[in-house]
Parts: sequence; C-alpha cells; structure tokens
Amino acid sequence: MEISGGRTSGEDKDRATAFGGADAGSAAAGAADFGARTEPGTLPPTGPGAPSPVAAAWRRLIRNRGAVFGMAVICAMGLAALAAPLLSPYSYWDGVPGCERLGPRPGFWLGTDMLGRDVLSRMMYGARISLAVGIAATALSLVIGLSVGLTAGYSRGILDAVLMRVTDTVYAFPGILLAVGIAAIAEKPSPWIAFVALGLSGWTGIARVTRAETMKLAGADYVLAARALGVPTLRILWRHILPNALSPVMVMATLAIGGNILGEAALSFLGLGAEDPYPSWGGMLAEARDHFTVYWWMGVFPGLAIVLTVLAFNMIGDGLRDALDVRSGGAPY
Amino acid sequence: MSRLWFFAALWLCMAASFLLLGRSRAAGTAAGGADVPAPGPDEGFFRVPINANPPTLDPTWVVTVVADGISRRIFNTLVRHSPDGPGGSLVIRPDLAESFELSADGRRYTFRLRPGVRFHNGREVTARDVKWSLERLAFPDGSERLFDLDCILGARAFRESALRWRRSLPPGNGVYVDWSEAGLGIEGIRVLDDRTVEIELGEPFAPFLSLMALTPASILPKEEVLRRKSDFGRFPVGTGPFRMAAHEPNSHILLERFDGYFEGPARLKGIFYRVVRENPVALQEYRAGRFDISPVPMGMLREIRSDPSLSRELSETAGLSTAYLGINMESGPAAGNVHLRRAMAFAIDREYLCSTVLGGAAVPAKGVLPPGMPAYDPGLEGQRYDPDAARRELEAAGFPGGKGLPPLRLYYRADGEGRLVCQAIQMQLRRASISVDLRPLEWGTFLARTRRGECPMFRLAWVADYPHPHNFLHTLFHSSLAGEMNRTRTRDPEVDRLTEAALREAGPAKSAELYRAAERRVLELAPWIVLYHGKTNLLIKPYVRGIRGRITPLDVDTVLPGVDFLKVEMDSVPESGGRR
Amino acid sequence: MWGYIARRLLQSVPVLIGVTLISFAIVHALPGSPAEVLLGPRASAEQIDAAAEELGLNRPLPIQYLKYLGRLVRGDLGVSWSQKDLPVSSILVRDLGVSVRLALGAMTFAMLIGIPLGILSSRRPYGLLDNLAMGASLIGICTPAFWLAMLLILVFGVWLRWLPISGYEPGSLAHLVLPSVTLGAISAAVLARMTRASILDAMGEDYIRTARARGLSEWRTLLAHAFPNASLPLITVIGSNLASLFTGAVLTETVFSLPGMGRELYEAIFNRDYNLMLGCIVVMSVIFVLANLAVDVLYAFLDPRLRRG
Repeated sequence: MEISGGRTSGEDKDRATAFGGADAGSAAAGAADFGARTEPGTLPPTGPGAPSPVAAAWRRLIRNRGAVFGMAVICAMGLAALAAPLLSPYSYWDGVPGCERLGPRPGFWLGTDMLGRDVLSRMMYGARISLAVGIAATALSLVIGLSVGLTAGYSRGILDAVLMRVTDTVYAFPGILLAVGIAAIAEKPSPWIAFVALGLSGWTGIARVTRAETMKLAGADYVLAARALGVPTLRILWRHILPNALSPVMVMATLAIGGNILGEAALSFLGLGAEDPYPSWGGMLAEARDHFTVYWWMGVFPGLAIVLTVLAFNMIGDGLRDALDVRSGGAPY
Repeated sequence: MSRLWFFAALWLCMAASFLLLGRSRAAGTAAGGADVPAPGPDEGFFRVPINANPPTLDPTWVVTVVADGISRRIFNTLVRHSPDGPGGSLVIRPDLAESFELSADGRRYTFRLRPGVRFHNGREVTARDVKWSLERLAFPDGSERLFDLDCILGARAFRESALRWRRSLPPGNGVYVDWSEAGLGIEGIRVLDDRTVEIELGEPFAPFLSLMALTPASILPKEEVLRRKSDFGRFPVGTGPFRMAAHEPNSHILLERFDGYFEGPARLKGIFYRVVRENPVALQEYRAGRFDISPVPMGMLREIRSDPSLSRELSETAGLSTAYLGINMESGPAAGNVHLRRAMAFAIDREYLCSTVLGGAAVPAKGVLPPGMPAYDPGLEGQRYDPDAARRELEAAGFPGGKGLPPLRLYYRADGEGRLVCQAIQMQLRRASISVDLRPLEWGTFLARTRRGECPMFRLAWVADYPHPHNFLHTLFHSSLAGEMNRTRTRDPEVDRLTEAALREAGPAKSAELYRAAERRVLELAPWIVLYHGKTNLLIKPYVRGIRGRITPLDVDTVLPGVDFLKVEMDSVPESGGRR
Repeated sequence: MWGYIARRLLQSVPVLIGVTLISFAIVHALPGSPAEVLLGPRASAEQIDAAAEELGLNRPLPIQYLKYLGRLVRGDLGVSWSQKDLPVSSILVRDLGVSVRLALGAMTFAMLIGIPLGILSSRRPYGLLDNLAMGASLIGICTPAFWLAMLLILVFGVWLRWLPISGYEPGSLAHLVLPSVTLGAISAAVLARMTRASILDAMGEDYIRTARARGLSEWRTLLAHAFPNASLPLITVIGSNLASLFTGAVLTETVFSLPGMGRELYEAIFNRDYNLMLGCIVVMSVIFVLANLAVDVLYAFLDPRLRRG
C-alpha cells in the first residue's frame, strides 16, 4: 500500500534489491544509482592520502546546488516548526469566529479552514509532525536495519539465514495492518503511531545494504588483521566495519526521511495519525477532501508543503550520494 | 542486442495484457450468468451512487442504510410507512397484507395477505412464509433490531431453544437451516389459513406495526434461502418491484423491473447502483451526467444553494436523527456531576455547529426527539446556548472558571463529519473554560469501547428505526438496556417509569404527554448533550419524477429506503446527458 | 538454476508463516470483536456472544492459528464474515482481477513515460531537457498519491471532463487511466531516473567508445548499445515495483472507488473480518515473494556473468 509499499518506501525497496539484497543480485551492486550524478571524472580523488574524507565529502556536498537548496528548505521548515508558537499568526486549534472558509488574502495568507483556523498557522504546527515523524522513524529504521545488517553480514551461517528470513517477512508484510494495529491498540491517535509503524516496517532495505557491505568488508585485509590480533567482534564492527559501510546507508536514510514523511501523510489521510486538533499535513488534506473542488486552498497548500519537504530531502540524498560517491561501493579507502 | 529485444518483448507483453485484461469482462457474475454493462444515460435505468458496499442484501441482516435501501426495492413487508399523513407525516399502509386488525386487548394482530402475490421465482406468497420470515429474525444471529421483536409471545423462548438445537447440528450450514423441520417456532405467530396470519404479543406494544414495516421484517421465500445459502445475500429473491440482475460486490448492483409485481410493473426499467466512496467524486460524476442522484458532500451545501442551476436540483429533507454527546453516567468526572453536564450543554452553540461547521446540513437540536417524530414538543425549552448559564453551572459543579477541572476525554469516530464537529465543540467548550481532550477512534474500536463503558464522553448520532418515540426514549435510556443500546448507562427510575407507562397507554395524546415528560427528565439529567438533527440533502436531476417531495424522514442516503419506487419515472434524458 | 529456484521457494515458506503469524497476532490484538462490528451498534451483548461462539472466536488463540494454518495448507481460505459467508477465495479472485489491471496499467504508464524520459535526458546530461525531465521526475517521487489523485480529478474530471473519475467497468479502459497515472507516477519517476543513470553508466564503457569510433550516430549508439546494456537494473525496478503496485494501492483504490485488493484489506481490517484479512495478506505476500523471485531469476538469466557463475 502507499503507506509503506510502492509509494513511499518503494524507492528504497528498489534500491535494496538492486544493491544486493537479493541473493542473485550482488553483481548489480553498482547499478542501483538512478539519481543525478556528477559526470565521471569530476570527483576529486579520495583515499587514505586525501585530507579528511568527511570534510571532503562535505565540501562536495555544499558545491551541489540541489543539496544546498534542499538543506535551505529543511532549515526553513525546521525553523518554522520549532518557532511555530512564536511565528504563527494564529492559534492552531482556535478559529477566528466569522472568518471561516476564507480564501487566501492579506492576514490569512493561505486562507482559513471550515472552523476559521488559519491554514498557514496550522501548516507551521503540522511541519513539526512531518519532520519529527520523518526523521524519528528513519532513525528507528536505521538502528534496527544497521543492527540486523551488521549481525547478519558478519556472522553468516544460521543467524544470517534467520535474520534474512525475518527481513523478508517484514518486507512482505503489509505495513497498513501494522499501522492499524498500533493505532487500535494505542490509547489515542498520535504521531507515535506513524513513527512506530513506519520505523518498524522501513528498515529492511537498510539491513540488506548493510549486510552486503559488511560481507564485503569482513573479507578486507584490515578486518582480517584485526581479527587475527584478537580485537573483540563488537569493536571490529563498531570501529572498522560500520564507518566504512555507512556511506550507502546514509544516502538511503536521507531518502527514506522523505519516504517516511509521505508515509506519515498517508496514515494521517486515512485518519490513523491524527491527534485532533493538532494539525498534520496529511490530516489537513483529509479534512479538505470533501470540498476540495471549492475550497481548494485547504488542500493545495498542505500538499505543496509535503511535496517541497520531500523534494528537499531527496535533493540532499542525491547530493550526498554524489559527495560520498556511493556507486563505487561507498567506502573511501 | 538480445536484451533490447527481450525488453521490448516484456514491455509489449505488459501493454498487451493490460489492454486485453482491460477489455475482457469480469467472469460470470450476473444472476443468469450474462454480463450486464453499466447502463447509459437514457436507457431508463435510475443511476445511484452508493458510498459503501452493502455487506449483504439479505433483509434479515441488513445493518447499513445502503443495504436497507437496496433491499427495500427487492422485498416487501406486511405493512409499510408512507408519507400520506397530515403534513407529510408517516402513517402505516398495507403492503403485502391487504388488511390488518388489532384485538381489543391490544395483543393480537391479524394480517390478511393479498391474494396472488408472487415471489420473483414465481411461487405464491402464503401465510407460512410470513411465519418463517419473522422467525428467522428471532433466530440466533438474526437481525440487529431483534431486541424489539421480543415483544412477540414466545420469541425469546424460541431463540433459546433454537440456539440449543443449532449447536446439536453438524457445522457447515451456518444459519441456513430450517428450524420448522425440527418442530421449532414462535408460539405467538400462528398461521390461520393460507392467507391469514395472527401474531400475539406478550403485552401491548404500540409501535408493533412499525416493526413490521422495517426492512428486516421482509417476507422471504424459504426454499430460495435454503438453496442459495450465503449467495442469497448477493442474489436475493423477493416479491418487490425490482429484482436482482447483476451484482458485483464493491463495484455495482443492477436491479431490473419485475414485471409480475402485484401492483403492476414499475415505470423505471431498473436501478443501477455503483459504489463511489468519496462524496465529492460522486457529485462530480453527477454533474457530468453519470448519475441521476447525488449526495451533497459535507461542507458543500452552502455552495450548492448559491449555485443557480444546482440549487434547483437540491432537495433538503429533515430526518429522524439526533446527534449528541453522550456522557457515561457510571464513570468519569461528569458521571456524578449534573451541573458539569449542564454547563457543557449551555456552552455549545448549536446554531454555529449547524450553519457554519456543517454549512446548513443539519438543524440545531433542543431536545432528544427530532421534529417529525410523534410527541415532538415544539415548545420545549430544552438545551440551549447560554454562556452565562454555563459559567454559573460550572461554578455550581465545583469548578469556578474551570479551576480544578481535569480535561474531559471526548471519543468519536475518526472518519466522517464527527471529526470536524468535535474539534468545533472543543473550541467552544474551551472558551467556556472546559478543556477537552479529543480521542478519535477507528469505528470498530469505538464501538467496543463505548459498549464497555470505557468512554467518559462520546459523540454519536441515533437514527430512528421507525417513527415512534419509544425508539428514542426507551431504547436509549431505559435501565434494562444499560450497556447495550443505552450507551450512557443511564439508570433513572423516573425515565423507566414514564417510558413504560407511555408504551402501555393506548391513547395517543396521553402517551405523547408521557413521552414528553420522559424527554424533559432526560434533558434535566443530561446524559445527552444534544447537538443537532440531521437532514437528508440530495441533488436529483430535474427529469426524475416521483422522488422530490416524496422523501420521508426515514430516508437517510441516496438509496432512499422510504420512497416508493413504483411511481418513480424519468423523462427522456436531454441529449447532453444533463451536462452543464 | 533449478536448484536455486527451489532453494528460494523453500526459503519463502518461513517468510509466509512469519507473515501469517504476525498478522494473526495483530488481528487478535485489535480491540473490538468481529461479532461486534458485524452486528453493528445496535446489537445486544447476548447476540454478540452468540455470534462470537458461532465464529469460533472463543477458542484459545494458538488453536485458532493452527486451525487456520491447517486449512491454509489445504488451500481453504475460509469464508468472509463481513460479506456474509462468501468464500474468501472467490472474493480475492475478483479483487485480484482489478488489482492486476490497475498494476499493469500503472506499470505501462510508468514505462511509457519513464523510460523515454530517461533516454531523452541521458542524451545531453545537464542540458535543459535533462534538467526539466529530472526535475519533473523528482517531483513525481515527492508527490503524495492521494494529493495527486485529487489534482487529477480536479483537472481531468471536473474542469476538462475528459475521463471518468470513479468506479470500474470491466469493458472500459478509460476508467483505469486516472488511477493508473496516480499509482504509476512514482514508478515512472523512478524509472526515468534509473534509465538515465544506467545509460550514463554504460556510456563510459569501452564498447560505447568503440561504437562511437566506428562512426555510429549518437542516437544509434544510445539506443542500440547503451540502452540494452543499461536495461538490466530496470528489470529489477519494474519487477519489484510491480509487486508493490499489486498490493499497495489502498489510497488510489479508495479515491477512485476501485474494488481492488488494497481496499479489500483495509475494509477487512476495519470490519475485523479475520479470514478475509488473512487471506488478503497471504495472497499479497505470495505475490510479493514470487515477484521478487521472478526478478532475481530473470536477472540471473539475463546477466551472463551470473549465468556463468
């Protein structure tokens, strides 16, 4: 479903399979890059001799116009969200009597809704939900995905097989059931539902990529050397494998934030995340759907906000991919 | 190169299969095995959007309004409600029964069936069908409206013995079994001869004829039910003016005229129902000439009223429903505090809810009974908006200025109009220093929680099953139904006494007086904070005749269960298909 | 190859068991019993009890689950309670028809738009056309489906009135156009970006230089050499996207009132129709697993490196 399937995280699914999640697909590891990349040859060489790889990547990132645009948008959105109580001209829950259903005009720049509430103010509060859920759900996915991927990739054998079957199971599981289940069990609807549902269903791609990277790195000379020296496994994973496997995962995670924002909007649209009267962009769209042909501003502006935010995260993700040169396997060594 | 070919072939295969699949018709779904395409604008079929798939059209299990309205077209009941009374009020008219009489003690109804009425399968209707159909209602797992049917002598005993008997059967037949073969039956329903049936009640029950006019009390052919089993719900066979021609669940239902109908064939060739889940989409399809009737989406009424052409097609009818905030009388901060409940009742501006939030789609409520209901009291002062009184009551409740009052949890169904209404209520109560915590719930969870009494406050609407105050004041407030229909768990001896006395009272004026007293008592106790009475707002094409002005308060949806479709007809549709 | 397929099929068995187990657990953790939702708000406690007994809901959960698995192995999906005892299999067959058409429609749209767009933009990377196309596809990826659906309805259904905006008629392709576009938009965007990236990848390879050196025209080099070699990853995208399009269209199906699988599952959840719900999930996961298997097999088949290995 759009909630966690084709629409939102379909993207990282594609990437997952292409990156080598599928057992037969490891040869395709490099082919998953379908983003805008800089032309071959324009990237400065990186390697042990280059200054700090992180600093180099950052320099490349801020040279990417799309990524800078994305970061600017996210910063602006984040600021609007954090400072919503200070910046928003009106309350998010209390309408102005006599000002219901007004189209965009000075004072109410994006119009008012059925209860006379300012759409702009509500969108500023809505940004909190979208950004918080998008980022937090991705963080949750990241934690689960990295742990599973590292464990499976490093241990191989039975544990690997079991973990990968679990991953497949979650991958094949319709996320909407999870979301409805959590929503029904929860005492009341809240953004937590979207956070948990999206976080728990979105980690499979990350796990697969991490596993593939880990398997590759586990055979690297310096890892073998560390093992021979008797360095504890956890330390090897933490110090030697994780940092080097992180690049493709970071790109995926950035893109997944956008996907999770879309997922949150879809869940709110279905009424599974709405914490009335607290606004969320998807919930605002849901409220507008009965009369979108007439009071278009109640639906168009929140929709644009979603598109813009997701766009921004995607542009950052693309920029990150170029900067980290993920295509060549990610690790700059 | 071979990969390019492969790729092109793959793509071609997909495009081709899409085209092929798109062209091919769904496999044999019509009753006769033949496929029936959607009728065009001028084929004499009345085209209706429905917002949900009817789970079943078997009248015994009709739960949703949509199923009720469609089932009505296929079946008949012994009697029916007709808007022929003074001022368009509903009165009982004969339907399958050509006459009926009530014994002097008010306990024995005798129905005389019309001669020569036939089911769609050609068999004649007899008094035994009446007995079997009504018993099926009382059979375990029967209709939701069965709680009133217990008024028939022996209905409860029949249900208990039938339950025992069914448990002894091998599983697999579910509810498609014939208890009469086992010698079971309701004692109070007696077949006197082929055309006469007598129903004896345990004690007088004034709205009994109204019960017999409800869709679940339709008369069914036993042999078809037992033969078709669960398919009977999809391809029902009744006596009505229309019969099932094609049924594709979740997509469409096509009824065609039954030429052997006992009152003569209908004027419409048929009725075509199509599922359109979003009301604004249905409206647009209507405007494009693809439907002959359309619901008015929430918040759109105002726009439509001011649209010069659409406003002429608009039909607004008061319904028999009341939306309310129910307060759990057993637990929660408002349970033992009548002043707090009254403060809330005074703090809600119902006019604002109706005109601004709902855009005129409802009328403000003062009391429990909707206008149009017998015993409705136009002079009732009832609950009203009065911020000063709200302040005084809040002080009397022990929370002056709202100090010390914890937020009240308000539960409601997360989809539908309730969401907006509850947010508006929260706004208003907050302005009266009463803070509210909104708890939208998904429908199944909401039902479970309110039933178990876990919701201190909830928003619901009650739609009358039949035009009798019993269906409001007894069903929703009598202590014997607390925790069931009586979701607020109101237990008040005075309300019990008044509603019981009103039911026993034979004189309509006296009975109405008692119901009014019960209503006043309920409003005083305030387990309900009444909000508004719903209206049925529809757009009907000008070329459709026989619906406008015939819509009854029992019609809640585009399917119009209360309208007699025998007389509905359509002038030939203009060339443009009604486009504007 | 056959051994590989057999191994993969075997691996999917625990996946399916896991999926049913999790679904079963979630389904039964939902408050509100099927009996309650089935009988509606007016039912009495006594009726609900009787119905629960009838549906076999009073037995211990592990027993219910094992019974379900037992029936599943025999191919019996049970009957739907919310649709009054209609066999789940017949409901699913009907829904699948719609979902297959919708998914194929969406994928056809995606391929029709996405691949040519990707080829065009790879022709002159960072040219005007490329920037426009990639900008458009980026926006395509970022647009919520239901919002896109609302806009499409507004433009094509209300202003222009070119296309029907709801419902499904077996004979009519027009009814599938807007839903297909809605559902396929993201896939189209992903395909466009993927096509472009893989072609650019391939353009750096030796055989392209050879082709160019042989004096082949740019277009010819692109279409006859670069694209075929770049199309391998596209198959992965198409395959796995197709699987999620099959199962992931609940919003599209809702807005356009299409009687497909996604909507069926959604309603089954709300009706607490356990059999129908589990049936939907089983069918969806089987499609998912099979589609991904098919993609991998195809991949192995088409990629000579893998075939040799």
